Amino acid sequence: MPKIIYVNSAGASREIDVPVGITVMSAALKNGIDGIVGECGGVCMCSTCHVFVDEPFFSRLPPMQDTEEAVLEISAEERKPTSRLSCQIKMTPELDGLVVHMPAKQR
Amino acid sequence: MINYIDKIPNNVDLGQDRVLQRALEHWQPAYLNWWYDMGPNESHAFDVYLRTATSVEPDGWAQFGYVKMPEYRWGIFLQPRDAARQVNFGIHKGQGAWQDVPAEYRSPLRRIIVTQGDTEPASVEQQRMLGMSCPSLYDLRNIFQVNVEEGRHLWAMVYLLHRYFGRDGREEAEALLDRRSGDVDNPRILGAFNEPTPDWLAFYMFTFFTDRDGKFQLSALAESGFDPLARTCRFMLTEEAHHMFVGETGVSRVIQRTCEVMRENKIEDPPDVRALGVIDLETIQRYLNFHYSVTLDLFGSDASSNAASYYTSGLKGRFEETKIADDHLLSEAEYPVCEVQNGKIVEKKVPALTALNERLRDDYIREVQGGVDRWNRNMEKNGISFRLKLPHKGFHRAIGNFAGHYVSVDGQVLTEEAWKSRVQEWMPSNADYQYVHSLMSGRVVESGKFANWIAPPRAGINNQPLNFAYVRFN
Repeated sequence: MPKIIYVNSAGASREIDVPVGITVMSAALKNGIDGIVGECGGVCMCSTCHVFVDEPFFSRLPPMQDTEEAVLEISAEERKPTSRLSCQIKMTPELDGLVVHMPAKQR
Repeated sequence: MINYIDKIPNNVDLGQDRVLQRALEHWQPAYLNWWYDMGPNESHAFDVYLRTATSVEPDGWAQFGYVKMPEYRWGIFLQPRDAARQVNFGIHKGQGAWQDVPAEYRSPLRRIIVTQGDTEPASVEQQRMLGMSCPSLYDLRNIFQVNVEEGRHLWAMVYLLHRYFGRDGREEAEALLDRRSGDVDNPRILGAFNEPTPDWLAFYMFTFFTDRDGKFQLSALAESGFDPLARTCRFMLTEEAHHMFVGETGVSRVIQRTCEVMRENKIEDPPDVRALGVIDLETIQRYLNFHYSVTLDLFGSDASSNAASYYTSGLKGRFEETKIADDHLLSEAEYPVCEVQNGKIVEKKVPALTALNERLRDDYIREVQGGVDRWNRNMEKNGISFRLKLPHKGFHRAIGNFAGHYVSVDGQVLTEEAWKSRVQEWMPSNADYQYVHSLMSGRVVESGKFANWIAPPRAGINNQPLNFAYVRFN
């Protein structure tokens, strides 16, 4: 199974094996990762699953759709060029080793 | 999975309990009658591009499509049960979460559920005329989405009343359809839900401030030891997130449009801004002061023996209870609250158990401040120096330690006369309401068009374009 490495704002990291097809948000919730809230339940409506994606993975992600672009505008920590909503990132074999940094606050 | 074959969609095996199913099927037509009477005005034949829950799983629980609102599949959806879940606070901490109502807590639990349930139809009633003055089809669709989901939240609470509270519960469920927002004889239970929502700026403020109170109340109830209530509230929270998105982005778009006009025309004074048909930032601040202050009252008294009792009994927790590192009993802990002494606001420590309302209010204020900061960043990016500010939490309060005191927006305790002499600076006046209303005299129904007083959103719903026909009028 591909791995995701979640890094919190203090720099501590956790590595999780996740099945292909699951979202980065959902994997975080199922594995008790603090720092991803997913208040809207993963339907791209709240920005509480905001993450910053490390290169080279960021450029491998499918492009952002308009709704994600709009919802990122209300993220608690201001967005950066590598911001994504983790509910919109589905794991694929190509993303094995994906590193996502979580902001200090999600609300 | 959700059963859509039954008359009432559900994921609670409703078909296995024929008595309950019949009781709810009896309540269903009364609910529809209420929707026809008090739901969005003259909207029943519209096709609206709505989302409907199809699952409770986090990998996509909603599908989108055109629906006539009276045909919306209102149903009963609970988060899946975790067999290992425990009561996580209070004197029953460590016991298995209750699947039935403990006899000794029947009355307070019913009261909690009725109070929460009463807010859901109330907001639909408050907003029922706004469809007549919508600034766009996008916004019209959003208010309708909010309305049908508030209706579903009513269903969620009515299910609990019917399923767990017998005849008393059924009577309470009927009463939820009888009370009316603002009715002199039979009003809704909580004050803010009897205030009018007269215009779209008020609607956005309501969904930002007052729906967020709903979020914090639901979050506290999602910690309940009574597992069906906790699971119900967890799913309601996912729907609530969209309502707050509508509020925050709605206010932000009003600000954006005003800033554009101010910048392009190099103007700052409110009369000049109003002359160009947008809402001056000072009026937005006054609306904010009103909605924030009446919402703070919804959290209840600063010191509350009821809140202490609910916590100790395991009925209602704190925001994110299980993430807090303490004993979850609070028998020795203290918490600071404010009160007015000799004309000054002083802080004192009280037992944390009695201050749980205040703690939840403080959690709420922190989150609201984040939204206000984002609005201010918007103004900064537009080169506008005006900044919105949350008033002091003692301002314009009718419940708790500040009730009966006259506190200014910056926290000075004034005489009644001094406060009233400045009220027009701080609260929306009749002239403000009339001006805002004058901008919203009709609805904008052309696809992709927006009223002059509001900027378009950054994107449409469900990745549809802005000129999508979000509502068809038929």
